[in-house]
Amino acid sequence: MHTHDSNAAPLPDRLNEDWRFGRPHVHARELAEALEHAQAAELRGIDLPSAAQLTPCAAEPLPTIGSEALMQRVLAGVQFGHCLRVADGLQRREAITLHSEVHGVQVQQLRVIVGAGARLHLIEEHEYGEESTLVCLRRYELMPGATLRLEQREIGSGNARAFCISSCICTENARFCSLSTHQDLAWARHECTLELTAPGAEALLLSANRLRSEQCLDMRNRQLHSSPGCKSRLLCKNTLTDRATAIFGGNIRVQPHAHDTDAYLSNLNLQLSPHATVHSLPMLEILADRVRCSHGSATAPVDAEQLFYLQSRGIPLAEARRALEEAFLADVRLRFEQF
Amino acid sequence: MSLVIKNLHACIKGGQEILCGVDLDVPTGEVHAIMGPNGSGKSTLSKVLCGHPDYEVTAGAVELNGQDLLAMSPDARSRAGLFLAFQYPVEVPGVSNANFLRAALKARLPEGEELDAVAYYKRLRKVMNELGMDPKFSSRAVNEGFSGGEKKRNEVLQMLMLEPLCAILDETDSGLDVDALRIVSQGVNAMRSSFRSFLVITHYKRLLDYIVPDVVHVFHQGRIERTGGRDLVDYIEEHGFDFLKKEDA
Amino acid sequence: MSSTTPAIPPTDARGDFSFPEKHAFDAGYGLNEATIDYICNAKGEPDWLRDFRKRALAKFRDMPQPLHWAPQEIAALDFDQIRYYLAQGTPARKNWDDVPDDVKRTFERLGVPEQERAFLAGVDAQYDSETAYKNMREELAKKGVIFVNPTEGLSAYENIFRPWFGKVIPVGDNKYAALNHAAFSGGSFIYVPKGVKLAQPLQAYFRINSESMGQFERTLIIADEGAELMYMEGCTAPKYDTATLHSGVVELVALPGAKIQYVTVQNWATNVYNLVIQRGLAMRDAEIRWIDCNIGSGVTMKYPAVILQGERARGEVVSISIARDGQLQDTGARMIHAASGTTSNIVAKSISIGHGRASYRGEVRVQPGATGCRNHTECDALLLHAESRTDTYPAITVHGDSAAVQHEASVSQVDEEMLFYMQQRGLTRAQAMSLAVNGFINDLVNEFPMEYSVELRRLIDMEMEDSIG
Repeated sequence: MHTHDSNAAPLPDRLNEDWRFGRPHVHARELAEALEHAQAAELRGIDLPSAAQLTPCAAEPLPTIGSEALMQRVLAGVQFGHCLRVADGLQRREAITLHSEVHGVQVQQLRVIVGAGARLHLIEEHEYGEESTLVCLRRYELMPGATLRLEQREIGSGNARAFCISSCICTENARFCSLSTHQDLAWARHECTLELTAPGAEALLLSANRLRSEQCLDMRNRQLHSSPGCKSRLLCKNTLTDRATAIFGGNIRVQPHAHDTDAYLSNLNLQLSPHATVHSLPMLEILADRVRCSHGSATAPVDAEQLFYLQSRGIPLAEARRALEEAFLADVRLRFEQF
Repeated sequence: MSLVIKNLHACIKGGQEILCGVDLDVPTGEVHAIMGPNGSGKSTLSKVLCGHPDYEVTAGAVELNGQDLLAMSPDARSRAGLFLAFQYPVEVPGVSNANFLRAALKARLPEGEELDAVAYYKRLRKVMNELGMDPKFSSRAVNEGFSGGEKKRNEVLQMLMLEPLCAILDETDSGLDVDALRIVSQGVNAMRSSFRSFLVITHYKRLLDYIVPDVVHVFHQGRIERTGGRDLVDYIEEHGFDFLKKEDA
Repeated sequence: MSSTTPAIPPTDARGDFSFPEKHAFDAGYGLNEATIDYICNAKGEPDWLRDFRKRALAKFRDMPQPLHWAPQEIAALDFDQIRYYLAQGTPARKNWDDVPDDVKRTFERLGVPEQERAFLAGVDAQYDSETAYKNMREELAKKGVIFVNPTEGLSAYENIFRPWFGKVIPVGDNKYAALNHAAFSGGSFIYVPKGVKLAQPLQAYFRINSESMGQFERTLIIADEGAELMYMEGCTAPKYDTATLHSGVVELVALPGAKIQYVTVQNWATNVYNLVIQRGLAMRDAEIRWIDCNIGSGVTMKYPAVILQGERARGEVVSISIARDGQLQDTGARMIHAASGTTSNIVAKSISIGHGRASYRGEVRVQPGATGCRNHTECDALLLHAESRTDTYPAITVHGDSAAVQHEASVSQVDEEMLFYMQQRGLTRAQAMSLAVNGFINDLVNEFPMEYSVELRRLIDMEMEDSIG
């Protein structure tokens, strides 16, 4: 993959299926313009142990889901990023936090390498200033037997925007669990490619998001099974109020010979407003056999019976709705805790 | 004319040996019981005899009425007269009991010959009635959504319909209540004849009160450890399988 | 002496099948204004239709192939290498002896009647259905049902058909729609008057002639208020044709309270690109059901749609696809909920055999302002071999907080324990596989009219015998 020519790939447009429903003529174009004056973001590690140190490293291309051109532009502008290398066998109960505050237009590149047999809980926190834009390229490599529990918290404000490309590679018996949450971002697009490359690898991708006002969250996921005997699960839950829009694209791809695959993806949306919109694209591409693959997508309003039950116990309507909204998202975190 | 097993060794494909030299002779007209603790390999024996693809025979021979069973595919063994009432009968969605049995019977006819449909349904209803099965079961998908007891009854229905020369009942009593056990046993006993043999695999004495065996074998660590008469059943009922462990020690 | 039955060669070979041809009308290769004039002149069509076709031609030329989403296989289509109008004015000079033995054998195994065999093999293009179905036609005429070909429909019954012609599937809808609008010939135009409920299904082969199963057939069915009908096209027996591109358009209009069921069984030879657009418009309290089975063709792209235009309209798609070596079945369904209280249901099952690839592609959309809508979609795929492929590409859009939309999909194999169980009862592996596969689609096969469902089951038996036995 060469990145010398930043104009090699055309910007995403209406014919780009990976941007279907994602209004690429608006968002991809705006992002490309913003990237022209992007700067590298600061990244602050909190309580990093000596066995997990942040060092500068060269930026590298990642697999995207329809945004090759945008990634090329990112790489053309900012050549360096950070690398968090976790030593083999490190066992750490307490979470490690990487915190950054976003101002203007910033680019952040992070590479996390979790050594063989290590176990880590990593929290990435992005706090967005008004009108800020963060473009994030993140790559997670899990060595054999490594376990990574990853929380990605996007804490937005005002008109903040986020565009994130993540890539996660799980090798033999590696276990990966991520929980991403987006709040108060005017627009966010997250492309996440998970690749399971050796037997015994297992991943659980979780996301829980509350969308309100005119916010738009555009999530694209790929679960790539390139080895036999791997397991992946994805659960993405959104609640929508006001004029919010949620787009979910998911694809389980089982490569030829990746037999004995066990994969599942689920996108569930709770619609709380007559003006909110959900687009759901749960896909499967199965090129092997002896697989167990399924997906589900459901979009529904609050259960009227449940609402009535809460009201009958004296809980005001608005509060009852909020309680059900919270309950809808609560099990996602629970599943993260249990991993 | 009988089922003859000689020095049978078998393992899970690419795994450990489970049958470690089984010798067994079930002459026609006799009912033999195999008892044994959990994990002794008695269910494996039934699967290996029927040619389950998960197992590999590493040594030994099995003959049914002089025919080399081990050389045959699972379906050929069935057509040769071997029947297994499964411990865990498999669900076959979308395929009705009636169509399934009909296909199985048709498979026993010479190529091109058709089954007399009227006679078949008449007989099916009669046998179902004897087993106390609701006629509606014939149009339900094979074992799908059946209770444990219903599945076991369905196995016996198939056995009665297919009229095997040698039938293996693998834990057929589990999941049956007393009434069902009585009805099922009556069905089996009605089939006992001078040209048919039975191998009854069970954990408990209960079933053997109804289907009285001629010979009793105790299975342990992949082979027949002891052979005796009906009194062996009572001995096990009283003392359990502990005596096997003592022998080990 | 026993007569051993030769196995049918791989399906690919069937596509090579061809006859010496002789057509009274042949517009030659490629599609241009002259081709259209040729078609219009041959059919004696009115000027408005000539203009209509030419406008469509311009659109067809302008529009690109939908390669950004469609299977890449269609890129191989060369529109200049296709003949767009063939009509056999004289009885064909084909001979039953020219039909390959495997084809004859297939007909025999399927139990296709002698007379129909000849037609299906393309030997007898003048299969005389007029006599066979004379009584039926008189019956229909008494009830005021119109059942004609498009040319007759648009000339003799212009006031009935023209208002809806090209309205459900507009000319610019996509490249293939434009193609069909430009080059259509053959097909059925049907009108069922208010309140008339037809107990007997209408069959495309009632008035079979060389045109009715043409390359660019055009069907328009209008069920007036409260009317009910079932229409069936195709058959399970393989259909051989020298034309490699088939791009039909089917428009259904169910006026308030009407019910239309449209049954298709497609079994083209494997050299055929079968790109079909089927869409129905369901008004208030109306119901449209597409019951679709795709067995043949090399590449099929077909997504029957229902636009739920009126309140409480109902839509359903029941779809079976079987993809064997060298076949791509890209099938699915679309449900557009444009009015409140509308409900829809999609059940799709596919079977991939050998190197076959079956894809489900679907769209469910709840438009803004449409309240209380419901959709349930279920796609199940069965893979028979390690090389088999299946895909699922649904797109779901829900506006507002009153719709319940649910999609489920699963991929599975025939369970080995299940096969062993059946083998233990004496069935060969092929028989067991055949039963299991039939069981997998059993509930959907039951949705087809009896004569189709029996043939479908037999066809699967044959397929299993050939690929496994």
